[in-house]
Amino acid sequence: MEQNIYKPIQCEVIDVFEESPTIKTIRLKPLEPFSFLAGQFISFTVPGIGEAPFTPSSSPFEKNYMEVTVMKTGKVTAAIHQIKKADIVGIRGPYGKPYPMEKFADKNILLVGGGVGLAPLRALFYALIETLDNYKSIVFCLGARSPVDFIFKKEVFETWLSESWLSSYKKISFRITADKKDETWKYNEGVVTKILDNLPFVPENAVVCGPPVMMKFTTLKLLDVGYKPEEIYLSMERKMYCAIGQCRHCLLGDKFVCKDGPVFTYEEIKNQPKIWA
Amino acid sequence: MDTYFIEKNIWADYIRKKSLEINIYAAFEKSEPVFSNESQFIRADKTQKSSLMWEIANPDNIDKIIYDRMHPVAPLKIFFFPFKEIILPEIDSITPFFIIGATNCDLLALDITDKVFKDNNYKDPSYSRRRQQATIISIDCQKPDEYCFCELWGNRTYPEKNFDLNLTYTSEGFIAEIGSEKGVSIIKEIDKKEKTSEETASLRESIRKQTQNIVKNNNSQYKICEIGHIRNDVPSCLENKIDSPEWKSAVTDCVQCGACNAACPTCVCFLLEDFSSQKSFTKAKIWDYCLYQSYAKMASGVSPRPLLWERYANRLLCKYQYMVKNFGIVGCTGCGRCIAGCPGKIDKRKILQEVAKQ
Ligand SMILES: Cc1cc2nc3c(=O)[nH]c(=O)nc-3n(C[C@H](O)[C@H](O)[C@H](O)COP(=O)(O)OP(=O)(O)OC[C@H]3O[C@@H](n4cnc5c(N)ncnc54)[C@H](O)[C@@H]3O)c2cc1C
Ligand code: SF4
Ligand code: SF4
Repeated sequence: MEQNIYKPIQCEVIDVFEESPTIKTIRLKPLEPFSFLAGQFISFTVPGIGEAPFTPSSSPFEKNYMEVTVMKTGKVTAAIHQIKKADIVGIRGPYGKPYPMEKFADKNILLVGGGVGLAPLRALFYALIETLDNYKSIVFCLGARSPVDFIFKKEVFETWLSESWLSSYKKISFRITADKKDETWKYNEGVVTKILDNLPFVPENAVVCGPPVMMKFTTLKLLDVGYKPEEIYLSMERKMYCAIGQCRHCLLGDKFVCKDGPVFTYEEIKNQPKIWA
Repeated sequence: MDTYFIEKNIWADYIRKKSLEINIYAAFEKSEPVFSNESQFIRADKTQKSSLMWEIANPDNIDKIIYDRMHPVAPLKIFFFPFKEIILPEIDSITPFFIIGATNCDLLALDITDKVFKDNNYKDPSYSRRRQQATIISIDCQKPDEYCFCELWGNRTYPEKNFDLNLTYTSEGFIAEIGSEKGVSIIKEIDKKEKTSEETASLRESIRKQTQNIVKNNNSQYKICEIGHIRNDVPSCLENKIDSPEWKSAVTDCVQCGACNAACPTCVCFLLEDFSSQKSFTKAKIWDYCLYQSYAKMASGVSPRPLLWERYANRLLCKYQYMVKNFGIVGCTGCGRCIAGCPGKIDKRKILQEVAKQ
């Protein structure tokens, strides 16, 4: 009999990191060989509770573990936030199309992420770093509602923004903002669209991930600063069960988020109904 | 393919014998649903004039099998894509079975369900095996009701594909057309049969014409799109009609029961439910209805279709636009079940006609 398409691979939880009051990163060790490409997603089973889709946030080149970064919003995500080291969970996948790395070759790349939307961009960023010779330059814009909600703090502030790191990755720069700052915040204040002016390069490729409103206004802004609809890559979210193009919950008009996406160019979906819902 | 004439009692004897070997599901006249106790069908049945139900045939009820009416209340998909089933771990044994009484509107729907669950990179654990084990003995529809509108979309009232053996009922016996190897073996097992004569061929022709005319006459007031619309193209008159004001008035009597989804042979949406423990992963697949508010609602509480008219429009656009883009076939076969079973008496033919006009 063929392998059951719904059978998850067991994974051991090897670490849990608290990113913000509502977001945790779970580090998993798959107990069978498993790999993914940046942008692809998995379906994550908490035994006895249920299943939900997430995009891995760790480097696709990392062979020892995989991380998912999860915001608590409901039943399954609440259960994920209860997970402890050594627990066994299930994953199936990878599903969906990866980011089109070949399209980024010899180009300037803009990454724009907000909140938990930074998860897939972190995986993409690591993948870009691995093959940095292929690209002209990268500007990574990171946003959050408030400094407390900002995720991957340790990595961003202690590693990426350190002088030594920046001097060894000269093609890369960062722009950081919080919708509303507090006294500790040394970076920009305001929504992420506010840090998209005066980009240091001609518009070529922009990758966006965040809540629907953020993606909507970021897309409008990017069109405004000269990006073409086919150069703007958006991560779309829809209700999803099967993740393999059967249950039809994730349809965005006639496009399946699970197999035609989850990343689409704005050009591909701009005529589908209610894309920002 | 080859056609044979089989006398009624010869056929009945064959089925009687066969019913002792394997499960045979056939159409029977019933006042209560028997095959499925799912409430959707009970609801659909209350407003539906036809009360043909699928039931297991046994030597005692063989003579009551109905061969000359229309489709049963429950769509054919229930045999391959049941209302609820455990898909992980999958059922190990699916044994051969017969279905007698499938009509063309349901056979055509198999083109869609096959593309979703079988002819896909990911194969549903049970669907293909059920399809393999099933022998489909279809019939020519002879008494369509006022809700049937297959001919309006250029679909025929009699099967042309997706059957193993098709039976045209006549007062003397059956004109049996072979549709596959499984059909060949049935005919082999029947000793007494004759190749059809020209006379029986023209009898079948006239029976078919008669039924087609009933459907055409019942639908003469509807001119939705260009006549004889091709089944594998988006009807241009329905393209990009999401903003039509007609949808809003269409749903005033909709009670969001989902009967139109449940009864439809091409509705394939389902949700997954977990019963896993750390040692084993267990999953059930259950029909889901796009008319329900919960269907598309995301964890954030946001839904792309919060309003009822948006969900209703989505259901119809899914059939006439999205499924055509996805599978190359119009996702409605014109069986009329969603009209017959609607407690709000919403007639999609009228809605489509209005939407198409704008
Ligand atoms: C491709 C993709 C990638 C994603 N990546 C990430 C990511 O990296 N990080 C992240 O935080 N989020 C991500 N998400 C969003 C994440 O999948 C959702 O937040 C998650 O599914 C919420 O699940 P929940 O059970 O906690 O929420 P709930 O609100 O409990 O459930 C979500 C929906 O499922 C329904 N539902 C729940 N249980 C059942 C049931 N038993 N039967 C029927 N319906 C039920 C509810 O009606 C609700 O509408 C991604 C989504 C997609 C589509
Ligand atoms: S259209 Fe009719 S059958 Fe469908 S959900 Fe509404 S009331 Fe029920
Ligand atoms: S949409 Fe209605 S008429 Fe068309 S196949 Fe489905 S139930 Fe039948």
